[in-house]
Amino acid sequence: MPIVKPENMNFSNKNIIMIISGLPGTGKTTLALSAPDVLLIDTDEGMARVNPAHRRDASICKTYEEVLSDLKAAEGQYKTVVIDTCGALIEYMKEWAMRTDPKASKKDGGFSLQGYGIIKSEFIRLSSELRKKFNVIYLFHENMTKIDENVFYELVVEGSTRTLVYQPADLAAHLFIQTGKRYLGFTPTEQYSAKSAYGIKGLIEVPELKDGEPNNFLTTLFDKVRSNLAKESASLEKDREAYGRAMADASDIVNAVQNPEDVLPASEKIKALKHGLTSQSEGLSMLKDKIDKLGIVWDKASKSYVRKS
Amino acid sequence: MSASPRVRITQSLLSEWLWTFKTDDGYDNFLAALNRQKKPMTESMLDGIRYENCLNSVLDGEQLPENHEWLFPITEMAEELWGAQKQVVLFKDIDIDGQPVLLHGVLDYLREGHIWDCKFSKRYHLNKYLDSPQTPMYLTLVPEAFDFTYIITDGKWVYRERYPREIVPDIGTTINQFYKFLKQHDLWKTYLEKWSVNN
Repeated sequence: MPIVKPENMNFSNKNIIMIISGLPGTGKTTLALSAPDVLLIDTDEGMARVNPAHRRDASICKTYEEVLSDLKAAEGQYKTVVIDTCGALIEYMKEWAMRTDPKASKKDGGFSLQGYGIIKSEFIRLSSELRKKFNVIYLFHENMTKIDENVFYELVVEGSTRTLVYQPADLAAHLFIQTGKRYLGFTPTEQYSAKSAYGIKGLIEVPELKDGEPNNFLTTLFDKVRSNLAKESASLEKDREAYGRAMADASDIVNAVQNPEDVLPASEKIKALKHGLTSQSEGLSMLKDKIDKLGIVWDKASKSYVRKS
Repeated sequence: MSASPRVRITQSLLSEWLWTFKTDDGYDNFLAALNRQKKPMTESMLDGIRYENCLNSVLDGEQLPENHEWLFPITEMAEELWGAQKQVVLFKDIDIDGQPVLLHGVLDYLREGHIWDCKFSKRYHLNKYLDSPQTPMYLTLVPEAFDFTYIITDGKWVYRERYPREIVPDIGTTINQFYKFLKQHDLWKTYLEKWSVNN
């Protein structure tokens, strides 16, 4: 594989995995359809609730095998797939695992612990495969749980997979309506889970979609992610170069340390390097590891490094 | 007026304090931590240490046997943490309303602007570390770092909670509230005595 310099990295084709979760009726499906060139994998009859002007191609699937087959057929034809809802997809996976792998079923017919392992692995595999071909939007319904005065919004999905579904996602947002306005919350709070990245954070208002207006909110957001990534990569280029040089120099300085009297000059030399990113902390930590290996310690009385007696 | 003595603070002391608001025995545990009493190791803590030792040995080039109980999560974590500096000890002087404070922390892993903390949690749930003072504390200790990631395993799966610097609150606010609490509960003298930098 050729090595690519940061200045030559191209993020224009980076595919994004995003979770959108919200209570029923907040407009998740319509929002998801604002991503570029969408195919909706509809397990929830979500398209029926979308304004006809904003409908896109949809595949109505009843089994996991149908989902996989339609996704395969969509390769090269769409830029984004929307899984509506991902909770239903996990149920399909459960049913598929029980049909195809005896380990997934308990003797009494229930779903086994190994079965959960199978669907978790499958979800991670599917996400990784889909990312190679599409942007992916996983939609989840939410339940609102109230404990004392505290409200928490939780994904409607099989319990043990709840933590895992966030793992492949670049971004995750809670969609909610407050005082008549819709917001996506990208920063996790005590009320909801979320995932912030690439400079997309906090609350972002989703404008009301008026008749005749294009439904392109997520297309614009994804463009912003790619633009932020490109800017971040360019701005870090010099720091990364300095980091690489400083780490190489620090490694040489540390390797030369053999005796207690070498330690302080080595520490000063590391501090004096032209640093980038976290190279100073890492270089000094390398020095500490080395003196530990050599059995050298700081002696408070003589205020100098000495060999451990 | 004599100058305030320089005091040390760690994320674990702040964590113990925050637990006083969450559990019935939180206050007693906090008092023990404030008085620097060593806690007996729980099974979960021992598992965590064993896991991290195993991970570090793999990062140092050892190979795990194919039937190792943690082969999958350790392999996944090792791929991500390869080349990182381990157990980075850091100190930083800050000032909280005229009180000189020495922040002290040990980062599990540091590489090229990224901090990781490895957690072993058999019952991990989402946002488990959302309000952990470890995040702002360590990002303050390493001002050049972009983000802090908790890389978590339940022994089978690997989870991540990543906190970019821009969404993490300032540690100064938490320390300020902590100091107010200590003064309100007549614990300030104990703190100065037990956590003086000279101790």
